[in-house]
Amino acid sequence: MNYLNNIRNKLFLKESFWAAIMILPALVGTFFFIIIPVIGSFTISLTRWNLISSPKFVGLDNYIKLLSDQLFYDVLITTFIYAISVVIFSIAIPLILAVALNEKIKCLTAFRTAYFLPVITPMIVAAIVWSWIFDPNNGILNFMLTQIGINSPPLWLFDDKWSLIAIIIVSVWKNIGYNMVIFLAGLQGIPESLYEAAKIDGANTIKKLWHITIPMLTPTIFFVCIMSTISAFQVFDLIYLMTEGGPENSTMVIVYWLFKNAFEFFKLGYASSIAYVLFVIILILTLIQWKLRKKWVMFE
Amino acid sequence: MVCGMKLKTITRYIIALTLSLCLITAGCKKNNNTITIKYSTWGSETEINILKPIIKEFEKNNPNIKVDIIHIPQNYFQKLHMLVAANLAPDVMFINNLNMPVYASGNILSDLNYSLSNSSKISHKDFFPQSLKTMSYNKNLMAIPRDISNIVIYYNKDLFNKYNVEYPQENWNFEEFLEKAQQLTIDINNDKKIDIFGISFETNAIFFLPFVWSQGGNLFDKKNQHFALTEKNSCTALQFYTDLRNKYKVAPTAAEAGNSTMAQMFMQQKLAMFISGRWSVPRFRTDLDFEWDIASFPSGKAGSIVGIDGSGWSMYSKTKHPKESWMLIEYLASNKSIAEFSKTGLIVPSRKDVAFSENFINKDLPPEHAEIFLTIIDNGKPTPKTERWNEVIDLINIAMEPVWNGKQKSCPALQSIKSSVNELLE
Repeated sequence: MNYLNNIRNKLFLKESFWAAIMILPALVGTFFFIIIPVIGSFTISLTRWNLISSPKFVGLDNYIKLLSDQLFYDVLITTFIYAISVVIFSIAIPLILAVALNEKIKCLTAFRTAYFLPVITPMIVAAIVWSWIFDPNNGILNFMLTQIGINSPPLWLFDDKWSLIAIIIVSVWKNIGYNMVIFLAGLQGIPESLYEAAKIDGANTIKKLWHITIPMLTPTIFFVCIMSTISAFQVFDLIYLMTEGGPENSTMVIVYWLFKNAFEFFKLGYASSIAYVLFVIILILTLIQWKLRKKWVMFE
Repeated sequence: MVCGMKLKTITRYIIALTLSLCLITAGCKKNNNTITIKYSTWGSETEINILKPIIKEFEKNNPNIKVDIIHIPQNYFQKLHMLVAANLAPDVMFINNLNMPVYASGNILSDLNYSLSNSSKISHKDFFPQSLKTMSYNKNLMAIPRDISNIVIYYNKDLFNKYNVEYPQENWNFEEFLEKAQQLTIDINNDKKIDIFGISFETNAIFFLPFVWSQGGNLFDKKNQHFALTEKNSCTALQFYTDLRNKYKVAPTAAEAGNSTMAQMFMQQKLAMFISGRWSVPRFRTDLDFEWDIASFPSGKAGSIVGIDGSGWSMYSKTKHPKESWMLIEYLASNKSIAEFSKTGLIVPSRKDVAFSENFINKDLPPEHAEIFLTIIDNGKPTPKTERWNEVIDLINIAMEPVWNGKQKSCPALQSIKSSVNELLE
């Protein structure tokens, strides 16, 4: 008995040792490039620092200033409008497409590839091409709108009422393919037998969709929902490339605002405090989603 | 036990490997007495192609010095700031007057007054006094200037001829300026869409401040402590500027320009007059297929006053090789080097000897009246300096955006940010 225990202990020791070795590279990376900066930026958020002169400790001043800054609330509202619209559309549209492309239709691969193309297009290319599409004078979008009889089409990126909508369109367009592929994978995991049973019971297509497909897909939808929300709150590249927050701050989202404070005005302390507020917001939203999950996600 | 052994051997191997790597790199570094100077600069490819032979020449004359060019074409000051913060600042840095105060007040730059006074190769007298003033901060000379940037009005002679408008004269005023812009704003095909605009419109400070200064207004008060754009002269001047676009409709709106830049519109003959600086000349010389020239900025109540900005070479205050760095700056600021930069038409040279030579005033190459760039220097105004320049400008931009778009009047818009700007200037 004792002998056996000894062997098991040794084996355990050996396995855990190798496990530690295996995760060490990832752990070192996480420690140096995530844990340390996270703690570091919290410290910076308590100071006033422009990177060049020595940092000055100011306590919670940055947070107080942030919460009394009107621009912060405007930025927050813009970010929420953006995030909510992007999440809704980049779940609904890919879901419909995935269900459609899960059927045996002609040129299936061609369709799937077409919808996936935006995902592999680099953001910089997409942003430049889209800003030309949106151009009010030479852009193809307004050209087509005038062709179908709309006399004064929107000025898109040059109008503070339309600029955010334009950005949302591009974002959704970019997300569709990726989410669609995840939904397709989810759809393929639904056993055929369920549909057969439903067919025997006389269910039509709509009923099958509503009572089998969607409930079986809720874990996937939940995953896509959380990931899209997080990435929507972190949107930066599109804004940086297409509008720089304008016109009249109509597309100023929180991460771009943070970037401007940090790397244009070199207000590192203020920028770090924005980062922490953003962290808290995303944390709360994710917690809410986890809590609500029990209400609508099935088969867990 | 077995594991312990293995860990030991692994550690040993790692240590041995690191040590040998250290030895190899150390061995490579110390083989002769060459000193390497790091020099950071921005600039387009053509600019770098002018710079490289100059540096090569310098290295040939000083075999013990090697210059390592750090070329940062985009977001230069962002990246330079990071280098400085990481204590990796280049020995010689190319900087401009607007971003200089941050570094000057952080004690990053050496005062070059003493070196310049004691140099056998260059002296204060070589440069335009205004240019040295632009590069100074609290009486310290923070950079040896390479160029002066000021603005003039480029005009398309062919369009002026075609629509029988007289060319801009010397000392023209704002009424004449507006009148010409109106005469040259033309809807060719009567589709209610303007095809040629009289004048360009850009919202950067360098383009709107001349309107303010020429009408007797100011950005800050004399001591740079208070915001002065709210004063009547200043904000009515800005109102005139935005009226060009929104009331008289002689300048394109942001949507009318779309994705085209003003330079592109001028090149496509969609603009009759274009406010810009010397940097447009090289491209216009090669790419324009119409006749063009320059005129001075129109005169207002206070005369014709444009800003004077500039860029130049500064030295890192903690450089390990101050002597060699200064030698490089001396060489770059020599007549020969600045003449190379000026030859293509890219810059208004900071050196008087280059400026008043064939190199700059060349009657064979457009613009015909190149000397205007020089005559306006005396009357020009070095842009006021503040450490918080980027933030001040951002506040002004945000407040002025509705004004530029014709939704609000300039005076109340500026009034709304007065206290925030004053806070920044404290």
